[in-house]
Amino acid sequence: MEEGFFYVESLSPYVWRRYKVDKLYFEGKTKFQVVHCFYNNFLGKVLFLDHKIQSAEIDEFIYHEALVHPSLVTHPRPQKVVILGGGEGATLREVLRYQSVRQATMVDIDEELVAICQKYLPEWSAGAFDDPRSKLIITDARQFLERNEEKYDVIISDLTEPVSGGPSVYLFTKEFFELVKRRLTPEGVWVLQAGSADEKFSQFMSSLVKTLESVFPVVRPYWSFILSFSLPWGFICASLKPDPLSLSAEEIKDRLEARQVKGLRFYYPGLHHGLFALPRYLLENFKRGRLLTDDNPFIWTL
Amino acid sequence: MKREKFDSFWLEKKEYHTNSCGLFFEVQKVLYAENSKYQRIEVIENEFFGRILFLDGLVQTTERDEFYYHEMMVHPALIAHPHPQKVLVIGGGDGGVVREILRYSVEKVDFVEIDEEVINVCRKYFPWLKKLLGDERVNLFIDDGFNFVNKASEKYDVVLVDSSEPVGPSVSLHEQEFYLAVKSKLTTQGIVVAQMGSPFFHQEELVRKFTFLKDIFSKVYFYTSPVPTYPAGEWGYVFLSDKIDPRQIKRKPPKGLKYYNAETHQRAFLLPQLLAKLRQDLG
Repeated sequence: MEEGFFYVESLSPYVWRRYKVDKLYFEGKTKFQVVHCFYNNFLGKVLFLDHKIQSAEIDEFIYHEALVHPSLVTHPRPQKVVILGGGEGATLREVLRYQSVRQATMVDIDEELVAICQKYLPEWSAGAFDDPRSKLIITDARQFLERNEEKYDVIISDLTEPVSGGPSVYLFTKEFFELVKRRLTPEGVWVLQAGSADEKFSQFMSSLVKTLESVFPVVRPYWSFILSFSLPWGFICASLKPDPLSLSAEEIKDRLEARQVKGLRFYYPGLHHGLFALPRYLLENFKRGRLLTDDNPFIWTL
Repeated sequence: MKREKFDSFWLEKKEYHTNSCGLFFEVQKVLYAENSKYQRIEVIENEFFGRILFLDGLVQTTERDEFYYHEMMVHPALIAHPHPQKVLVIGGGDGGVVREILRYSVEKVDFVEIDEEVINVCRKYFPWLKKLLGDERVNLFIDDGFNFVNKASEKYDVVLVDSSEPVGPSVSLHEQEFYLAVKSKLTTQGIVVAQMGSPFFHQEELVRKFTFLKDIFSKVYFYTSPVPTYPAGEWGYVFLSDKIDPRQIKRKPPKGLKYYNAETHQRAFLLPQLLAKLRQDLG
C-alpha cells in the first residue's frame, strides 16, 4: 500500500506523474517562484520550480553536461563565461571544469532560490560558488546584459520556461537575442536550454530555432533524453562564427585535454555529433516555428 | 470540479482503510512530518478540513470535524454522571477531549499521553491544546496509560480512553487487563467511555472487546456518531458503568456545542440493526 505524501505534477492536460515524497526538504515561495524540494528513493533529491521538475539527483549530470560542454568545446578559447539562470549551481560547476575559463559569472534573479539550493542541494554546485573564478550576481538577466557592456566568449541560458507571469518570458525573444549577440566576443557562442524536444510539445523549441536563425549565422539545435523529465530535451547552440558540427572527435578530445576537463559522466568526443542528430519529427516541426518578439513572446499554455 | 484546471499540481496524502479503499487528501502544506519514539506524526493543512493530525498514517483529528468525535467522547459520560469531579483521560494528545471536559466544573483532569512529541506538535498546531494546558485543573502526565492506571493511588468518576487504533503504542489499551485495572480505579458511580473503532470496518475487534467487557462491567452500551474523516464516516464508542444507564439521562448540556444535545444523546444510543443484533447475540 502506498502511504505517506505524493507530489503530483501535470505533464499535460491528460497525463500526471506522482512522486513519492520520502523526505520533504522545502516547500515555499520565493519572490519569483514556487519551490518544492524533496527526496525520492528512486530519483534522489528533486527540485521543482512553479510545479515543474527542474533537476533530479539521478540524472542532473546529463542535463548540465549536455547544456555546457558542446558549446565550451566549440569555442576556440573560452575564458569569460556568463550563465543566465542556473540557480542550482550545477551549470557553473560544469563550466569551471575548463581550466581555460578565467571568469565565470552566474546571473540569477532569485537570491532565495540560490540559497535554498545551496542549503538542500549542495551536490549540484559542489563548491562552485567558492571557486575564486566564479561570481554570483543577483539581478534580472536582461537588465544585466543591458547595463553591462562587457563581452563574453560563451553565454549560457539555463532559464526556466516562459510561463505566464514568470520571470523568463522576455528572455526568449528576438530583441533579447540581439542583445546577447552584442555581448559576445567575435567568436562568441550562445547556448540555451530550449524545452521539450518531444513531437507533441516542441513548439517552443521550434520557435526558438526560427527566432535564433534571424539573429545568428550559426544555429545548431541538439537534444538528449532526460529520464527525470520523461522527455527528450532540446538545446540550441548559436554562434557568431564557430560551428559545433565542424569539429572532429579528435579535435574535441584535444580541446578537452588542453582545457584539463575532468570528471565527465555523460559527454565525450564520440557523443558530440550524436547529440546534433535530430529525429525526423523535429526537422518537420522546425518548419512551423514562429518568430518570437517582445510584442509576441512565447508563453506555455499547456 | 476544481481539478479540471490542467496545470494543477498538489501534494496528496492517502489513508487506506482496507487494501483497496480509503480517503484522499490534497495537501496545501506539510506542517510537520517526523517519527517520534513511538510513531509517525504528521500534520498537514488541507483546504477543506484545515489542519489534520495523522498518527502512523491514520487521521486522528481535523480542525473542521473534530467536534463530532470530541463532543461524543465526553458529553454522554459527563452528562450521565451525577457529579463528576475527578476525570482521567488516557491518550488523546491533541487535547480535544480535555477541552470538552473543561466545560464542566470538574475538580481535576489527569491527562495521560504516552508520546511527548504528540503534545509538543499539537501544542504548536492546535491552539486549544496550549490553552487548556494552562488550566490549573489539568495535570499532564507523559506515561503509558496502562502503567499510569496501575500505579494510580486515587479513584476517578469518569475515565475516557481516547486511544489510537490497536496498532503501535496503544496496543495495551485494547486488552482485558487494562479494563480490569481501570475498573479498580473507578468510584462507585464511575463511568468509562472508550472509542471502539468503526462499526462497519472493525466488527471483529468490537466483538472481541465486548466479550471481555461484559464480564467486567454490568452495563455495556454501544453508541455511535458521525465523524466524517474516520473510516466509513461513522464511529463507535462504548459506555461502561455498573450503575448508570445513559439512556435515562435528561440533563441540559453545556452551551456552545456543535453536535451534542439532548436529542443526539438519545439518538446515539439507538443502535442500527447490525449492532443491535450483535449486541443481542453476545448477551
